[in-house]
Amino acid sequence: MSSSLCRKQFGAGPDARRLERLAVENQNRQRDSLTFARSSGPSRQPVGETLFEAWADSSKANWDGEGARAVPPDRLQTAIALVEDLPPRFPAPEGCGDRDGDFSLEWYRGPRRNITVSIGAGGLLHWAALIGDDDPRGTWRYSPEAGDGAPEMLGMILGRIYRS
Amino acid sequence: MLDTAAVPDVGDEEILARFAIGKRAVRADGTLKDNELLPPPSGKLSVMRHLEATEQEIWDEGREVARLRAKELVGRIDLNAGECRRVDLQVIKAPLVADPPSKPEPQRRLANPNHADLVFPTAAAIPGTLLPKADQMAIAKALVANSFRVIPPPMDTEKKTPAI
Repeated sequence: MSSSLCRKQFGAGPDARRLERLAVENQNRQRDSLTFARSSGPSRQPVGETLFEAWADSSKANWDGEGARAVPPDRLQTAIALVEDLPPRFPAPEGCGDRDGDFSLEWYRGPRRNITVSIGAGGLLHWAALIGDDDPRGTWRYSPEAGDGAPEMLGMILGRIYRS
Repeated sequence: MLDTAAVPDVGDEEILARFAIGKRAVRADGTLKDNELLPPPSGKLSVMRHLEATEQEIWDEGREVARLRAKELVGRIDLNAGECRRVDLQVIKAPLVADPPSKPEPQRRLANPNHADLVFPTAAAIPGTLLPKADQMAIAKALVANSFRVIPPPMDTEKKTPAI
């Protein structure tokens, strides 16, 4: 999928080459990683592919027709790293661009059992959950390049959401 | 539709439509994704007032929005204005005037006297900036959790959205 998709969508400039490299890395991850053996959505696509496609839909300014900012590629890279860092017992999240240029991951089990983590600039993860009547929220700092693992509290909240 | 010469303020009891454009806007269970209710950098999110509009006029406006974005109209959710205010959003009338004929046809917008804005609150600590992202996300989650599923457009009046 990814490298041909990149060329089709982004042409042959430096950005396209960067995206193509990212897509190839994603494909390698899909092959090598247990996380990327997970699948997402009814089509059972590998999660790296679905995140990439969600990011591509929001990678140009005004992608929503209401003045949205383009989501930079580094947000997707951080999203992929975060998903890889999580224990494999949790299902794959869905990804989507935010109008402020962040990239969100959503784990959704129902209208009142879900969490969204929005990946912002500088390794900031803004998050909000809805679990019953509780609506915890906050911000974590996450830098996979510096060796950070996924925030422990994210694992705890996902544990509450997916507790049977 | 409302009379453009005398557009009233938005009352708490009014119903507001927010259109879902593109398949990514809706989850598999038919609910709207939270990030569809996150604001663009302006802090203003467009909605359409039901007041004095027929179902046909509401759906026509949804198709107009989809046409301008060259995406599919997936449906709409209906929000109560008072409920929006309860989570600290301002709801203000913002009638749209038609673009001049000099604007190229594909991007030329029709008038919509029923247009309104949901205005996200600004941060008390830093005037002119929006609330922290996690708080914006919590507002969007509360609105989605309290709304019904996305209402699909009627099939019998469906018009094909022309590509731009």
